[in-house]
Amino acid sequence: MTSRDVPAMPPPAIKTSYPHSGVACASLRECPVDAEPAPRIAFSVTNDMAVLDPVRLRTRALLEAAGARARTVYDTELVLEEVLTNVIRHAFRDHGQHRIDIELAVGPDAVVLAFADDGEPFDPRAFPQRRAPSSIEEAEAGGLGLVLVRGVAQAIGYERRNDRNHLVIRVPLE
Amino acid sequence: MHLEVSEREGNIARVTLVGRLDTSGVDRVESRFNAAVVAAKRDSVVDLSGVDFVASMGLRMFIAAARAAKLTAHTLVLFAPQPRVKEVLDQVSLGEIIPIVETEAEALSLLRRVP
Repeated sequence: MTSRDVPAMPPPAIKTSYPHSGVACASLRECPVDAEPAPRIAFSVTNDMAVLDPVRLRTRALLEAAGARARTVYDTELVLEEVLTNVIRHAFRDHGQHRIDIELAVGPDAVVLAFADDGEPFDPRAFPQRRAPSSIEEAEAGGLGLVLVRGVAQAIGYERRNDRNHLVIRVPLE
Repeated sequence: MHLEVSEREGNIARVTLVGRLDTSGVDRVESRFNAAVVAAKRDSVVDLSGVDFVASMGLRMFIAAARAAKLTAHTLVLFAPQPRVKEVLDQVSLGEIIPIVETEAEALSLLRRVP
């Protein structure tokens, strides 16, 4: 399987299977990356773009301590950037303050990122694949972030549970 | 994120970007980038060799600038992206709408061929 072939998972699925672990799960707590303790962090941020840089620096420190290579760091930072900007921009209609929970674990063969928020339901797997534009006039501004996330993700899991979005993205280690 | 603008023969702007083109990087340079590439109404070449990260915000900045430049019949050419950055540009087929070449010389010759 190439990194572009994100497994299609049926939208009504309650649980998500990771192709490599065979474990059905929708969050890191339910889905240990490995039986061995993996380097991991869990934290919560508010829906404010100012959190992006601190989140990135914390993540980079974890990945570097775990010996991740430059490509894995890039791919993980790309997922963080695209998912968080999307949630912060589009998930909340009330313009109020909301909490976004983030968990990251570095397993033996993948970085697993889990996000939870109480915004509008959004299943990125249901979003249609974007066609490449052939001219500047045709180029769309939106949807690019999702294309990039699909490009680096080995698997994307989503579940709406207790009025919260739970998104799990698995980025393979280089 | 850092941006520098210099001149090349034929009223061409040479823009050098250094750093990360993520949300906070784009916030820092977008207005100056647009001033150099769009408001000045001329062709431009953009040196990406110092850019080590591009996310969708950076792609949007390039697409918006190229589109605005085209309205005044001007062209934007990107050159010398790092390998991982080039992969991101290719993943969204950016090269179909904005020329992406390896060197500044190629970028300049591309513009000089355009009537």
